[in-house]
Amino acid sequence: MKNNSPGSPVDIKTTKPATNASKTDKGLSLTEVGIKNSAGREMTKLSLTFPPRSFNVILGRSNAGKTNLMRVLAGLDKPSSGRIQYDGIDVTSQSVRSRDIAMVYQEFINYPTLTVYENIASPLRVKKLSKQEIKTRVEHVANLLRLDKFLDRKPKELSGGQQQRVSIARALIKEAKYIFLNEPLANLDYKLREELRIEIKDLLRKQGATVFYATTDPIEPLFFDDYILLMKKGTILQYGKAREIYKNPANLDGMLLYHDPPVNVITATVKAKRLSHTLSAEKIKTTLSDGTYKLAIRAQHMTVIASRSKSIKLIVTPSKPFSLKVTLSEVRGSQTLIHLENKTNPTVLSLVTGVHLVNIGATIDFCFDWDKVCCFDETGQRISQFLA
Amino acid sequence: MNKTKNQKAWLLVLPVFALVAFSAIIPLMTVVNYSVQDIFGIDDRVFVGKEWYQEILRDEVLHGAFKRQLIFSALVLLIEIPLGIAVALSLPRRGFGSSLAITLVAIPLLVPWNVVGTVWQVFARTDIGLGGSLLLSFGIDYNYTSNPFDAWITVLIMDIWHWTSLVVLLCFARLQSIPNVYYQAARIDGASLWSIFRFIQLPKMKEVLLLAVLLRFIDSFLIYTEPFVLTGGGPGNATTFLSQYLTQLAVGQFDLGPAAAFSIIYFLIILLFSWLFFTALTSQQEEKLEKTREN
Amino acid sequence: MATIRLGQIRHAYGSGRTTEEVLFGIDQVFEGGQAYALLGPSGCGKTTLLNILSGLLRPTAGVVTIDDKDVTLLPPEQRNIAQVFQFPIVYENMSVYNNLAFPLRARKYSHAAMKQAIDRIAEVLDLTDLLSYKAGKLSAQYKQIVSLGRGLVRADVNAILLDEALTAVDPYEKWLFRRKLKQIHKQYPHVMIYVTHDQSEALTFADKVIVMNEGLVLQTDAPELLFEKPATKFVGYFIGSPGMNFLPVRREGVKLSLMNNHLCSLPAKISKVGGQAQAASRIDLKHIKNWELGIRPEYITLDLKPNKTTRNALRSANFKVKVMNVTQLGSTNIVKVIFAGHELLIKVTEATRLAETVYIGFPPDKICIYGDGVLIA
Repeated sequence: MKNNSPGSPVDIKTTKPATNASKTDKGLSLTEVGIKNSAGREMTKLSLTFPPRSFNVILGRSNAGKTNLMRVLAGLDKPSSGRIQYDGIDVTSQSVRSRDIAMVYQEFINYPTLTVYENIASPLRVKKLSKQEIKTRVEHVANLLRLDKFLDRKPKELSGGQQQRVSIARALIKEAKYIFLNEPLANLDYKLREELRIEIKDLLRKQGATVFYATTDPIEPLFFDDYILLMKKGTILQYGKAREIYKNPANLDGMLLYHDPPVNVITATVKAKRLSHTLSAEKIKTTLSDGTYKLAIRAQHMTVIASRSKSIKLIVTPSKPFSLKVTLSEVRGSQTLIHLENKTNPTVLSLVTGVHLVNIGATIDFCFDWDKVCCFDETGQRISQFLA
Repeated sequence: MNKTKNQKAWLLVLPVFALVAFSAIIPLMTVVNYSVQDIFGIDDRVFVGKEWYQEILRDEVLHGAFKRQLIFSALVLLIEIPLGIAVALSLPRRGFGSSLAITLVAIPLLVPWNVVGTVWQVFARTDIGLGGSLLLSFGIDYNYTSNPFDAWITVLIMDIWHWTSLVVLLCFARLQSIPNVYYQAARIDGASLWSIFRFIQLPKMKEVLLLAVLLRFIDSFLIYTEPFVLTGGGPGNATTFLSQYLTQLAVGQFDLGPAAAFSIIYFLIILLFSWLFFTALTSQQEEKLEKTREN
Repeated sequence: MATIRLGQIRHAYGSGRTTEEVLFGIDQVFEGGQAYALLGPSGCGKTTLLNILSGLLRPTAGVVTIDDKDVTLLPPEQRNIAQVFQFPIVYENMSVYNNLAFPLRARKYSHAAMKQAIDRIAEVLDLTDLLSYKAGKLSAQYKQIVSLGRGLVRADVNAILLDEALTAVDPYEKWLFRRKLKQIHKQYPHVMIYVTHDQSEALTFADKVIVMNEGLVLQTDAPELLFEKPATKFVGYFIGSPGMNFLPVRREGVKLSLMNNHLCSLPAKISKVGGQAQAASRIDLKHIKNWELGIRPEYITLDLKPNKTTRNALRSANFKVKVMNVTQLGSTNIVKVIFAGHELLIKVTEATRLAETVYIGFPPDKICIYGDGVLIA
């Protein structure tokens, strides 16, 4: 399975965004926007630009302010200050109805008395299109979302996944330039979530809309693989390319949020250009000044030192080995998450490839790769260069 | 820029404002006007300040009516609220029986107030009324036109018959909306029926009970039509409540000044009591405290 | 240590024309001290089965026994079973302490015994500081811990049933909660049954996972076995993320092959491995129409160059395939390739190098053979 032959990782993309790009496309931008929520919390001076046809995943735990932000972006709520532009045109005071947007909610919101066909057709009827055109477009979208067999049914005769597909179909058929999805998969079964996630990615890419997708699941920004906006307690932690931020988080809060698999946080102390940490008794050269710091190491980078393990060879700058006691092990599909502890760290997690039966109480030797460690100062801000 | 758009919204609520001003604020201000002046004719009026207020507060008849009114409203609440809860709890929860029961319970609410008075006036008569003559035949010396206690009981029972249904409907609707899983959890905990009521149903009904108490208090405090039709406030002043006395003052004796002062006081009393009930019953609902742990 | 047995449990909702059957004869044993997960898509009957276990529902047919005592007709309060529901149920205007005391008061515990039991469980669940708080004011996460505490506080409890109990919990806190559950279970000898539709939750939580679909139990096994040898195609698809890959194979006589590469030979008559009902009967190979190979995305080998060192063409990465796309998911990458007209998903670690065309192989020991959707070998 593993391969050590030379060659660099290649990104292969087959699904290219639709090419209805024009020079006027400037995406959605916020200028010094303030957002007030019902609890009186306020975001201020928010200036951001979402590129045209970008897929923006808004990641945050419940109550992080994701819905508030989406409502303001879509125009359901007015910002308390500042301007919002769609493609360079100020829409701050424009009503939702006149904006070119579509929305999908966590709850499967459909018209209960209308059939699936009528539900999907409803946005087009509002636009007063001809019957024939509506029919062709509904059938097309229904085919894409595998709803063609259910067009005559009422929403409540469908499963949860199918109902949510109907809401997504309604959003797609509008061919809106901006599509907002607020935790659309949260109420679905695990497997359905997996299937629908793939469909959403493919369909929305093809439409070439600018997408905003709120979620609490850290795997989704990686899956959709475009932009990510990290939010915590009503503040924005970071915005950028999802893969880039996964590798280079700007702050500890963001890294802990964007955490699948979980992140270990270790306390480190620097004295006279020597850094020591609580996992092992090593002292390494550093550029940092005296003080305490946080080291964050993802669980998959806590490597087991076993005689035959190939993964050791991949480590560029290995740390000094250290032993930890097993407190629990969990099987996650084809991986095992081992919970560990030592005297100074109550919880250390290690994600190991393969299904392993680990005895509780056993001691295992580990090391980590200094190249994969993120260092944060006491306020939680990232320090990119810290090894001398 | 968005200011101009907001102005449109004001335009839309203007009719409602106009309506409220016309139906509430203007009449109220007229009454305030009356209460501080002595009016002899259209152009002949004298500002008397708090004189009417002082006079009306010294009025012995009013004191009596006020006491009676308080006792009446207290009894109405003490009987109708628990009775309403009990009936709501005992109604069937689902199926045809449920809809039938709820329809039957709702019937008294559909009867116009003056009709309620008339119905009971006939029903309680000792000569031709079913209720009255039945009581007599049991050997109970009952006569609501001459015995103050009998008159009281009759007015009270009439109100209970008329309005308990409201409490029942409110409670029933709330009980129906409690998810079944609460009852399942209680069964697994081994809870008794009393515990289920005390710790699941009652807390869930808190909001509607507040509403029921407020509605029943205000309504019973303003009661006029039914006792007017049934007893006319008698015998003597035994069932003369505040609103009836007010009518006597304003319409019967044409004492507009004291009547206006009385109206203002009446209005303030209701406002005060409603506010007291409301704060007493909502005081425990503070901001929800979100307890989360450090990672 | 209590043992709970289900014998031929059937259940239908409604009556007459509107009858809807949801369980079709379930036989299952739950042993004390073990943690079980009931896994299946929504509507598969798992919550119904759970409610039959706790006594909230009476099965249409079949027997429930606890330690060989027939409890089929007993109400929940006489079964000593605790149940935690999907959404946290607490007595909102009682303190956390009184919430925990509630089931004990109903069972007439003495004051001292009650206090001792509550202090013990509060410590285990890390609720000691919150005992005087009003339960209604806690966050959903802590309300759910209090619900769990109400179940665990009774010393006599035979089984604790959890019905999708983590739905209300934030993803980040889920694994903390799960860990707490596992640690608690180690201290108590009762049966723990956990209903979920999330396979990773089931696999990490349970000693044994019971996979259900459409009112039937498809497989009961340890997580590793469920992963390695799914009893039906459905289990293969449902367990694992992404699910198992399937490819049609050819049968000639007793030999099975994939693109002219010999896979294995079967006996002329076989007893199906998977599936409850058919376990005993032996079937002639000829009666099975569809033959398929199943392999996990994790087990397909992937190389940049063909590997000719071993004889076995399947084992070494020898099949040239075109990569359609790659999805990076933190610690792993999912590679989609086209093999003989079929889409295959391959799961590799983040360090694996990739190119436009790669060579793949199917290790024979990781291949499962399915006949008409049921595991054969």
